[in-house]
Amino acid sequence: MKEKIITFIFMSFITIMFILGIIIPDKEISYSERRILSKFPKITLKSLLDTSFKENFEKYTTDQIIFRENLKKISTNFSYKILRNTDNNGYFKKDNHIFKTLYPLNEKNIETNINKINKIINEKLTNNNVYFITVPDKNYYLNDNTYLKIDYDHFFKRIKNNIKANHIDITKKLSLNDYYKTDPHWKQENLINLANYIIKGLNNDVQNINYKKITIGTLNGSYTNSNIKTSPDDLTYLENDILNTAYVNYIENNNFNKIYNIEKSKGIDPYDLFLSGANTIIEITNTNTFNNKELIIFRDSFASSLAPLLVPYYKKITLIDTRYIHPSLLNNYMTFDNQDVLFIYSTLILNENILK
Amino acid sequence: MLFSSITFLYYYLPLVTISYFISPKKYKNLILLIFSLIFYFYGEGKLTIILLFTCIFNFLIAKQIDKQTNMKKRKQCLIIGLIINIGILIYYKYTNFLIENINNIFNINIKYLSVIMPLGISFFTFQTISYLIDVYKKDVKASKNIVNLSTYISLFPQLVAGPIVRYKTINEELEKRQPNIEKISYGISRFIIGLSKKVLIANNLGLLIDNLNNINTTTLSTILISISFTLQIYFDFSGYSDMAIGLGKIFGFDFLENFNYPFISKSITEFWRRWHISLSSFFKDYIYIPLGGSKCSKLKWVRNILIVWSLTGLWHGAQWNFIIWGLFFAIILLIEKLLIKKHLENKKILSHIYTIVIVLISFTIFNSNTLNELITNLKNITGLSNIDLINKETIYYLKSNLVLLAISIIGSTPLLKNIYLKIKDKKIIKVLEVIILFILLIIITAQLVNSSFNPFLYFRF
Repeated sequence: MKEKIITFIFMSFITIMFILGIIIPDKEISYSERRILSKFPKITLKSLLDTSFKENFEKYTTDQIIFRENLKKISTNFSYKILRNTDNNGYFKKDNHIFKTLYPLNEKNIETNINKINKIINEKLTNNNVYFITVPDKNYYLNDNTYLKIDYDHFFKRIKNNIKANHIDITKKLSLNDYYKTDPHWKQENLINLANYIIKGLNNDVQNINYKKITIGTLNGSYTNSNIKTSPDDLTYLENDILNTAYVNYIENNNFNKIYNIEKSKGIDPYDLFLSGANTIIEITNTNTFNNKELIIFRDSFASSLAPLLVPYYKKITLIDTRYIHPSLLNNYMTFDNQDVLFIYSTLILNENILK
Repeated sequence: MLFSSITFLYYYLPLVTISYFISPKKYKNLILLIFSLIFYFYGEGKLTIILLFTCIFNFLIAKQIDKQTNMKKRKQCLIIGLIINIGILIYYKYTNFLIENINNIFNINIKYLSVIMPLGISFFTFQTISYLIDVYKKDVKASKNIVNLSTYISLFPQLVAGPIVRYKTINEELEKRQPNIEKISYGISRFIIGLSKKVLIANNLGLLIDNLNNINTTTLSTILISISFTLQIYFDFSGYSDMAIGLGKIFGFDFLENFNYPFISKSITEFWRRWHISLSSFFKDYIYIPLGGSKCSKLKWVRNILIVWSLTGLWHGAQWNFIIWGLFFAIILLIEKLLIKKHLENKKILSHIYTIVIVLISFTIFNSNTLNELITNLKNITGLSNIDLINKETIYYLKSNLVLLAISIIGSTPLLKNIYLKIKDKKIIKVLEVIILFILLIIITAQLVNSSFNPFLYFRF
């Protein structure tokens, strides 16, 4: 009897999975992973002979399997509850926050990044006031020795001692609560004091600027992919008349938009609300100021939500993301003369080798 | 195609099983052959031509061997068969290794060949070699049916990772086999258990090794890597063998066991009776014994051992570390047989510890890509190099994987099997068995969906 049941259950299960795999329409997007799912690959003689069909079909079957999200949760539970892993693929939960382990400290990548940044400073910014901010990722504020943590003191010292700029230390101006629970980024609504501190560090007089908080939904961030349960934060942005009338120019395609892209907040990555997410070069023009000061920011995604709070102090802010453009091409788009220049990079980026 | 993939589990397997069971008896081998070729073509593309050639050539040459009554001509046919089979294996697997060594020795610069090794070539070539020799020795009749022989050579359950199945083991089943629910059910259980060993244990051990390789090396981290790798390769390889044996049962074939709890051995001699049994018995029957085995002078016997074990090493991959790995075992086996056999028999606990230590060292050799890496690893593991004994990263990964390591160590002994054999007839156990198997299948699927880490360790074999 047992034999019949095992055979029946197994055969039925794999057959049902097969039939469902064929009849259920493919999904376009995985919101939890914030990516487009694979489609059924084209079958050609070439793709069959060189086995590229296999590579793509494997991705397709894994991406489009029924109950995918539930299966991913089961896998995470297996790691935590059965194998009792401290982390799952580097993700873990502490104080209701999802963290992703940043480990080990990659000395070689840091060295490479220091050299790349110094090259920009030496070759392009000889007449500029240059400032540097290292944004601590949220592991910095993790207060638990159970988990692996890089030597942040050493990290910050290396950056400070080797990059030729005026360094603004922001570590004491932030806490864990200033970051989203399900995402590596910080919350804009918590950055007003930090922005004022940076403005002061950039040798500007801080003004009393009021903002209105607008909440447009919740932010299920990139760490949702870990399948660890936690309550997501509200997605809130700060606005006032200055920001409402400022406009953003996307240099590469010469498109214009507002600082906040509400449409993008409903997409795969809600954090793209801020300056429409990742872009090569963008210019924010403040139409409400009579000063002619300009700021150039070399940046990663952390600056997307911070930069709007610097807008009231400048006529124009240019944001450059050298993950997507080689610095040698910048002269095609802009001239470096006497602008203030701020490099702002998170420890997450500085520990990688992705800057061009 | 990997057994441990969504494509195999929920696309290929339902199609092949349904097609097989609904087809009339006389077409069942043809169905298996077609699906086996699809299985191979899907992963290897145009290299399938090598497999097809192997099937046709060996069918024809075996017939020739069988047909000859003159012993000399029989031998000639066998030699032609062996040269072609071994020639293909050498061309695809060892040519660049030979060129590399010739270049190094003579300081010349012969260009490397642009060849890709067809997956599983070492397994199916050894099967065809055993087939030709068995036909030559009249242990078995040459197959008269090319579909049956091609099914034997390319049968997907054992095609890419073994076990090395001999034709004489399954030739009757190729001709005639009865569907049997006990066998199918056992095959399914065995397949799921093998898949669990691979996906739930071996893959997670592989991840642990990756993590340990990325931190500052300590003596403890090197020992942990060595233990984890030994366990990983055992669970991966024996898992694959379980899956192959299980799939074989589903389709009515009885493959011989390939692993029998090797880590409980009390000597390396015993270890090799329990580890990759189909390979060691192949070398014993087709190389060691024909060379004279142990029934010759001591010097020749030592020569035979050295030849067999350097070939065993070389079979695992075209790299020096594999040859050193094989020779390491040869030396240990000689020491055991000549000097310490009696001591090992008398001191049980000590002989277990001795075996485990030798096995751990052997897999450190196996896992080192270069001679320098090997020397560094051995220095690190013995504490002879200038590294820390332990650091916080090592402790972190040890703590995080304690349950996995405990499950792996317990699972590598017959403890669970013995408990199961004692209680398996109880009703509640029968119910639990069904439930556990189904839960395992769900967790395996979940792990396959959630983790991209699913290495295939036999690409060099």
